[in-house]
Amino acid sequence: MTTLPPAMAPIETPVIEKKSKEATRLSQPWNVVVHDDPVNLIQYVVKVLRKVFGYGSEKAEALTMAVHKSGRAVVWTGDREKAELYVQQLHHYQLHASLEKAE
Amino acid sequence: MTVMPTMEGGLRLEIENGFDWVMLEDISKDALGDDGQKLAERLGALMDEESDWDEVVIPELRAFFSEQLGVVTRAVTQARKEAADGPEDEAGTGTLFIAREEAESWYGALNQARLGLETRFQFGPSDEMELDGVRAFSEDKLRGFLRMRFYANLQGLLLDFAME
Repeated sequence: MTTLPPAMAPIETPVIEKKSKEATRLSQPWNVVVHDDPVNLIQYVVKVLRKVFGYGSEKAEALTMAVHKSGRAVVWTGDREKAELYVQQLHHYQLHASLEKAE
Repeated sequence: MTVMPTMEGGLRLEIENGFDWVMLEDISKDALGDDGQKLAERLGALMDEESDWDEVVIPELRAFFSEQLGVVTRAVTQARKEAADGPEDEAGTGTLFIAREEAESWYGALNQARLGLETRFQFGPSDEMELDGVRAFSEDKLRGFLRMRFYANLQGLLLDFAME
């Protein structure tokens, strides 16, 4: 998903900065956030969270209710590349999901 | 319309009249809505600029959502054609099967239809809706609301009987 700078790129200050930023961006943890919407059924959101993340019923239901009550919930935290893959899967299931840097 | 689970793990829809056919044909129309199929773009808008959503993911999602509608449109068209070829005294009636392997596509198409209706009419969460509010709807909005309920009920049956 993420495009890394080419290995043989000319050594220039901006490129090094970019590489450094890229490395930091990839190494720091990211949250996968699911947002509430008026369309998705609660039972369906539970099913999707179980399928995508392999959560048990109890955890998936608790996260779904957190989304429903608070408008959003962090459903997973980890490296950026994997987080993007999870968001992509959630979008396939039409869940409103995004990424944010973990605190 | 009567909907029942099948022994094979899908759903069987018994269509009783022309109104039922219209309800099924409206799924794709409601999904496409006034501004066409923009769901992929709306989901992509949640992502930051550093992701490759615009170039890679959105086109793929667009094709995926379009295929979901294709599954429903083809199934309804085929079932209606078979019904039309049947005995004249049973005009308007027909049967449509949703196979287990197509249940997710049907669910997704119904979700798109409900999203299209929500965008158009702004119903809000159904658990916060009061009867007085529904009574005040215009005729067009009330029809949309009834389709919204029908789609949600069919989704519930898909979840209960046809989706793993």
